[in-house]
Parts: sequence; C-alpha cells; structure tokens
Amino acid sequence: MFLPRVLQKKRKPPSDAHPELSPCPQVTRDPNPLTNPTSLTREAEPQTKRVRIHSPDTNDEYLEQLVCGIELVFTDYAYQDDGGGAWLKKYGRVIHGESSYIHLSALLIHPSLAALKPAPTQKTLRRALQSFPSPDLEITGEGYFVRRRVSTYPLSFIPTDASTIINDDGLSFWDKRTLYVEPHLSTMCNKPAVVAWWLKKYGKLRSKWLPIQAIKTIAPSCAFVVLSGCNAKLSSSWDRWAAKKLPNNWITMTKAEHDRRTKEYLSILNTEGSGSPVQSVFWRQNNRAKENNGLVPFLDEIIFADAFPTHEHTPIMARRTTDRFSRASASLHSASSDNLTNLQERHKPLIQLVNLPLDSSENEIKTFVIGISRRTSNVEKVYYNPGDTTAIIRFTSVEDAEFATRTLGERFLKSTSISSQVEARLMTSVSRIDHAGLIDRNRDDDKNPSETTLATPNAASSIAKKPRRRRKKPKRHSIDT
Amino acid sequence: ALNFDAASVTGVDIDENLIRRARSHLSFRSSRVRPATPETGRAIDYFPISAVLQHGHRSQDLVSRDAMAQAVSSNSVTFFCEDWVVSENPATSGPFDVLLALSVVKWIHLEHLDEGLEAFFRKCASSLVPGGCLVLELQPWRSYEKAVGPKKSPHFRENLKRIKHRPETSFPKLLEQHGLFHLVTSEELPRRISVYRKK
Repeated sequence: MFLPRVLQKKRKPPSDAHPELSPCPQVTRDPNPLTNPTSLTREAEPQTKRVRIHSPDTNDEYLEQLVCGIELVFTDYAYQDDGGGAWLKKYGRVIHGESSYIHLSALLIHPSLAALKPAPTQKTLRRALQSFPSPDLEITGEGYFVRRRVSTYPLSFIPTDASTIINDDGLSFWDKRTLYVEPHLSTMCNKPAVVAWWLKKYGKLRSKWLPIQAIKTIAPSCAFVVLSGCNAKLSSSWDRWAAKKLPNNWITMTKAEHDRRTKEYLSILNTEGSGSPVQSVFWRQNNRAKENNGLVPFLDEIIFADAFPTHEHTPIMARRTTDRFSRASASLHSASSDNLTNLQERHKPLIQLVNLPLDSSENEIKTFVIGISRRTSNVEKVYYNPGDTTAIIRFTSVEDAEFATRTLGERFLKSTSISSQVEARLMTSVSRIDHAGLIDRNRDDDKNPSETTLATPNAASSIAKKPRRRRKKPKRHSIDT
Repeated sequence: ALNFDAASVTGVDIDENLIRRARSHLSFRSSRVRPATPETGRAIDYFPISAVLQHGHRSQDLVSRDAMAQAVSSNSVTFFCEDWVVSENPATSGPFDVLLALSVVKWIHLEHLDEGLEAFFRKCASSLVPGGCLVLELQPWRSYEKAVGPKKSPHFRENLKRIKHRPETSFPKLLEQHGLFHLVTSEELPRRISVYRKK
C-alpha cells in the first residue's frame, strides 16, 4: 500500500536514559464524545494508525503537562502576584453569571504554556482538561472556559497578604516555601509546566506541599519553585525529602541555602578579583524589570567587539561599526538636543552598547563605562533614549575607546583563560551566546587583526543597502486537453 | 573531568567552534566547584548555576592554583583544534586510558573514506595503553545518507558513494584487526554505545 512520505516518518525510540521515565502508555481511553478521537497508539500496527498530518503528538504525558501549566495560572500565588493577578483580571470573563472564567485561547499565550513543544492548541487544552481533570479547576459545559473552583480559593493556610509578611530572617512567606531547582535537562526551566509536572510525578512531594504555586524561571537550566507548604527551616520533612535526592539527577535546595551559597561564591570572586561586577549590576536591573512587568528579559544575545573576544556571559558588549552609528544617529537625532550630525565632522570614536536593560538611565550607563575604563575624562557624551536597549558612547580619543573595549574583553578573558592562539582567531568573529553557555557562531568576513576596527564617523559614509529580492513569478503549468 | 575526577583530559576536534564551546563550558563547570576547606572536601556543582550566571566565572588560573595548593586533582583539561586522524601532535597521541569517540566516526569516515577510517582505528589502538578502552557511539548507515542531504553536507555525496565499509557490519571486524575487542554494549541512550578494549 502506498503511503505518503510524511506518514512514513520514523519515530524516535523511547529513551530509557532517565530511569523514572516510564514508556509512553497506550492512549486507549477516550470516553468523552467531545474529545478528538484521532490519537495515536505506539503499539498500533501501521495499517490501523489514523494519522492527522497537522496535529501534534499528544500523549498522556503531554496532556498532563498541559493541566499542570493551567493549574499554575490559577494558584493563590498567581492571584496575589501583581503580574499574575492583572493577567487574570484582564482575561477574566463572566459566563452564565459566573465570573473569573478564562477562555482557552488566552491560556495559549500565558508564559506557563506558551513555550511548550509542540505548541498547545485549544483542542489539546480542552482534551487535557477533560482527560485529566484537576480538582482545583472547573470548566464550562462547552469546555472552552476554565476557572479555579470557587470552593478551593483561597487556600485556608495562605494569608491574603503573603508577600508582605517577612520573618526575622528577612524571608517572606513565599520565600520560606521556595525551592531552587536545577533539572537534569538544561533547558527544562523554559517550560514551567514541564518542571511542575516532573516534580509532581517524580519528585514525591508531600501532599501538604501541593499545589505548586509558581515556577519562576531564572535561566533555562534553573528555577525557583514556590510550594504551598514546606517551611524548610522548621520542618524536618524537608530534610527527609532532600535526603531522597528526588527527582533523579536534579539539584534542589531551599532558597535560603541558595542565597547562602550565592553569597559564598560572591565572596570568593571578591577575594580573587574575578567575576563581573558589571554583570551583577545589570542582572539586578533585569530582575527589577522582570518583577515590574512579568517579562524575563534575559540577555541572550551578546555581540562581541570585533577585536577582542569576551566572556560568554557578558551582558553588554561594545560594537564599533560606522553604519550602526549612522542608523542610531538618525533615531536619536530627534530626541537629543545635541546635533549629532556634527559628530561626523568631529571624527570622534564611538562605541555602541547593546542589550542594555530596559530601565537603564544615562547616568548609569556613563558610570558603567567610566567604571570599566577607570578614567573619568574619556567619556565625552552618552546618547541614550530611556527604554531603549542600545546607547552610543562618544569617547574623547581612539585610545580611550580601545581601552574601554579591551577592558571589557580582558576582564573576562582572564576568567576563561583563552589561549593567545584562540584569541587571535576570535578576533575576526562575532558570536551569539545563549544562557547555557553554548556558543552559536555567526562568522563575519575575516578581517586583518592589525587594523583598528574603531568606527570613526565619516561624513561621506553611507549605509550599504541590501539588494531587494525579487519575487519569483509562480510557475504556470500547461494543461494538456 | 570533574564528575569522574580524571587526572587529565585531552579534547580534540576539527571544529574550533566546538573547542571554544568546550573551553567555555569547562570554565563554567569549574566555577561551580567549591574549593576544599579544612572541614569539607571539594564539592562539584556546589554553587548554583544562577550565581555563576549572575556574577561571572572564576579565574581559571586561580581555580587551578586552588586545586594544586590543596593537593587535589587539578583536573588538567586541554583542548586542541586539529584533525586527529592525520595529526602528529604528540600531545594528542597518548597514551590514554580511555578514548571517547561519540558521534564523530561518521564524519571521519566521510572525510577520509575507508582508508581514513582504518587509520583512525589504527591510531585509536596505538594511542591506548594495554587494557585501555575505546568508547564508540556509532552512527547508523541511514545517518550517513541523511548527512549528505542538501541542507547538511552535500559536498560529501561523492565520498559516500566511494565508501565500502558499513558501521553495522564492517566496523567490529576492523576494530578486531587492530587489536580492539568488543567488551560491552549499552542501549540505554537513543544511539548504541559500544566499548572496545585493547588487549
């Protein structure tokens, strides 16, 4: 029997690398007539498979993860949190006289679910809620609206102003119930629903600790997990649970322990004089921005200076290009009272800083640049629009600009111990770094390392325009009559 | 190096991108190690990932100096960017106790053909101490066919046609000819891992 190629796709064998991961069970149960009956079973013969080419692979695990993600939307923590509460208020609807219902289409864009792969759809969400109903959630008759069961909110043991209650140790109510986790997969924390599901399934959490109130992603490889119970400092149950070291190959600790180890690490860095105080400043600023608007503006794109390689986790780097200055000057000209076109005549060197936090200020940027260059007289002017992520710094001399860029690079070169041979090769490349420390390289054309790569504004320079691609005319097939 | 406390690890790859990534990752992992104290030993993965991401890496010179001062394994790790099959660099010629060739044999085979594959196995055998182990993660033949696809490495298409040895059938015999005998195979991971021991 002929089968189209797309139906002949070979499935990957189930991975047994993680011993707790049970083989995907056969999806046979489908009692609800409203659910989509087209689902695959791993044990079915090819002839009996009914494959929908455009539907995602929805096994039981995936559906359970969806339910975990939906539960995270409606927790007490979410209601009390400024960002979460505002989101619920914004998308809440009144259905049949009952308030606080959220349509499934709104859940698709919620951070708890948006990053799942395959991307959820309204149908899969509906199927998940019907196949694995949550005791805390209720859905309307049609299945497209969901809300927290009124009888379950709020939980009796959670005070209404939990975030404002601080104990003698400076820990808030939620901090005392927060764990720091590093899952076995380095990108799992991008998907809060998967983290929550994995903890519930393989973490053997105590029932008093559930439901999981929130998953706060710090980086793709680590996150804070806010539980309902588990006051780790007072309870011996935490010690017993921690001793089990579950889930397998995860690193878990309380938030208090996490903060203690972070301080210890910081003290080692201060003693050695290594690390990146600059990075710390902008990390704190990023976290402030995250708390304010619920976004996670993690700095995942780092542009290296052409001449000097830098540390993978440098939050900002200097990029010296004449054409970028030209574009930046056009956008900043209207905002700045200084006439930027005069810059081109002055031929002063410029550096563009990218990936700045959204709430930066001109003074902060100037302080930062002076701090790394250790000379106050070299920064002539900072051109920055509040809320922007790039800024142009004008230096008094080429040497000052080179010194600043070299300092940014050398500071982190020391910590990575890159050999001089590699340094020479890196001098011609531009790279992009992600959080996990992997480098995805976008190689530039090779340049002569001995040339200065500082962009000296040239009034005659113009932006090289990309040739416009022409649309190909669709082919017309002649039909033989 | 850190997880198994190896005395020395030498990494070789033809791709300088990967060498740079490896150095970065070593710096990252080393920064997470808590130095030994009078009360406690060295702790791997002690400092949280968030701390290292937030505050930067430790200086690797100081990490090594710490380890030497405390008379613990300094986990000497070095990386070289070269084609190991044809390289004559003494630093990468061994002898080694264990050689790992994970998902690289296909590329060596496509680059250097059957002769290069035999040279690779020959060099593995000569670089191992007696009783040393070669850990191979072989790519199946269908992986070779996918590798020469238009979006991957179509420049190897001609070489693919000239290759006679097949991973599933020819490799065990070739390895035996060079004194490497099959010890154990694991199917735990999506690709089979086989361990061969030198007599």
